[in-house]
Amino acid sequence: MRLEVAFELVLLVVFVALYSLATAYPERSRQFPQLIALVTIALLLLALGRNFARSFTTAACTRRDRWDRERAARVARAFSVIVVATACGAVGGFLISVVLFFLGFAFFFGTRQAFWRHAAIGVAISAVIWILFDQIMGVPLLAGVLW
Amino acid sequence: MNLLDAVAFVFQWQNLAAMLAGTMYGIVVGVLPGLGPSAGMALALPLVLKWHPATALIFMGSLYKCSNYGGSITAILVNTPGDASNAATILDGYPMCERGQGGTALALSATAAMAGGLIGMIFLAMAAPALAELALQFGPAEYFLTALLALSLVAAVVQGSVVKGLISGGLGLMLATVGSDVMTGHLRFTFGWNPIEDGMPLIQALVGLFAVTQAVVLAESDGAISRIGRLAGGFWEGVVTYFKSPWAITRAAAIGLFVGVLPAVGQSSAGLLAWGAAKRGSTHPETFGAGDPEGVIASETATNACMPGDLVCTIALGIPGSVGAAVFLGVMIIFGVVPGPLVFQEKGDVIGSLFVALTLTSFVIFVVGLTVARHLAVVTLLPNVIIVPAILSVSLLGSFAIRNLMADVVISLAFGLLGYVMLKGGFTPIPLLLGLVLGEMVERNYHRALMISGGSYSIFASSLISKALIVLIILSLAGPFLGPAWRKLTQGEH
Repeated sequence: MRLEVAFELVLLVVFVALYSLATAYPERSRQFPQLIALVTIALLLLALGRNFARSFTTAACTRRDRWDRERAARVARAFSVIVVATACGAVGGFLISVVLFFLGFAFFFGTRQAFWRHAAIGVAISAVIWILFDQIMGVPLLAGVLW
Repeated sequence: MNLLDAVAFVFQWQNLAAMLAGTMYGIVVGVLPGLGPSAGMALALPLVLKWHPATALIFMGSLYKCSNYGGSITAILVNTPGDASNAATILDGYPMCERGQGGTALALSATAAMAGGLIGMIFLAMAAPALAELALQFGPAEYFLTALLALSLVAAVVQGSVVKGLISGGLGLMLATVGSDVMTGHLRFTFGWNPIEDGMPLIQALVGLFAVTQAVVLAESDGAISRIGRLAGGFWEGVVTYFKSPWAITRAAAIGLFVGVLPAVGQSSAGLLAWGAAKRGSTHPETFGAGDPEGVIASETATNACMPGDLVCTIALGIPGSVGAAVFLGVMIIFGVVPGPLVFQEKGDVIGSLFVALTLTSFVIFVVGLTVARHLAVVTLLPNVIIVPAILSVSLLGSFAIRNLMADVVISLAFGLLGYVMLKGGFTPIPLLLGLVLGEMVERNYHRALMISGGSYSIFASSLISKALIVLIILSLAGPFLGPAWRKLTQGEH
């Protein structure tokens, strides 16, 4: 299933669910969200109808699928790095998170020769962020539950 | 605050520093293709939250104004526009660079940023209060319809599919209803999660939709943002060439101003329309597209004159003229400067100092262009493997720093994922953002109008202004079906 259609279907389910949820609210609180939901549901049905009516050639689908698979793999790795580094940041603090961002991207997307260079850049940027934001500007950094 | 007070305020060292920092930051953001003013403002917002509102808006205004110039640097040097607004600049800028006139082309761009920006700012200072006077006649029904017009225009113009744009806008409006109801205080769609009880946090959503999404888009491919970066040609030669074309400058500035005050049509259209007009009006149209300096003059002057026109609608009416203006609208609201006709009375000091600072910024761009900016293109040579984690680090730091909540980072990541899926599904997150920004205002005025009319929907078509707005909404939605004329105006096809 194309991402476009899948996204529209998910949105349709979400809007129907929100419309239903809103029925429990007082009249004035539910009026506006239900109005928005109804209009958007109608638009989603229109978009889905148009999508199903549209025809695609096999060649076009194959080309698109291959294109999507290549990028999807990279994006999946990128999101994995983001989620893992953020989760580690919640435990060990923001600076660890920054280093992990750089290490993760260097590991998955960089060359083996450049890995340690990227790691060093990550450590350097962490230090710059700590000095600039924490020490000079007083912007609070995530400390992490460990400390 | 009168003009002299505003000038004195802007010349305080911290405001000058904010203006300079915004200028430099804007140029850097503009140099990075894809980031643009929207992501730049989203990234910088958490850092300036504690600042005085006027100082923060001076910084943001300078950033917004200068990011366009930054985008022209990469458009000329590496055939990659930093933002859609620089799309027309590559047509002649890059061929000039190929012919060894890169320095000249950059000078044309810097001078256009100064001249076009100045013309636009003078217009902004004159037209904004007049528009505000008109807007004083607006009641809740008119405000509701104005917001709907902004949404429908953005939905229709931004991505070419009205239905998808409206769905995106509907999602934004729906997300804006999350949290405490503006009228009754009743909690809606929070599912017991405290961080969203005050509403969906706007800044965290901005960071996610623009910065995180852009980082993931960059992660899709190897290499760097651009491939080459080398300068040639004389800078002063370009400055002289620019002022030898007064008619081209005037025509491009007029096009830029006109397009700027049309809500949601945007700077990319201004540049392309001016380029097309310059080619049609030229005695040597065959040289356009092959490195004609007039092509760069037209596109850059129009784009820079367009930005203050964008701000006219944003400040006086609350209708953003472009994506960057939509984000700037959000930034203004965050700092307690609510756009609309009363803003000139209630926040006259802030608006006055913003106008003065933006005028000064036009000169600062030229000086920066003359000295350091042409060397900034080296940023585009950094590999994505460095740029992506750097963007993520700074944006998520900003997201966390607002309320010291890990939940805000999660919200930003969720919006980043949403933004990415939307992009890949053929949806643009821009109407979503506008819906999120305008949602509270739309709902409040919807209820107020119905309260005034005793529940009758006829109030939405009772006044002449309302009727005109309804006609405009219908036209904006029907526009994309009107054929090539509309596409030429909004998508820049030529």
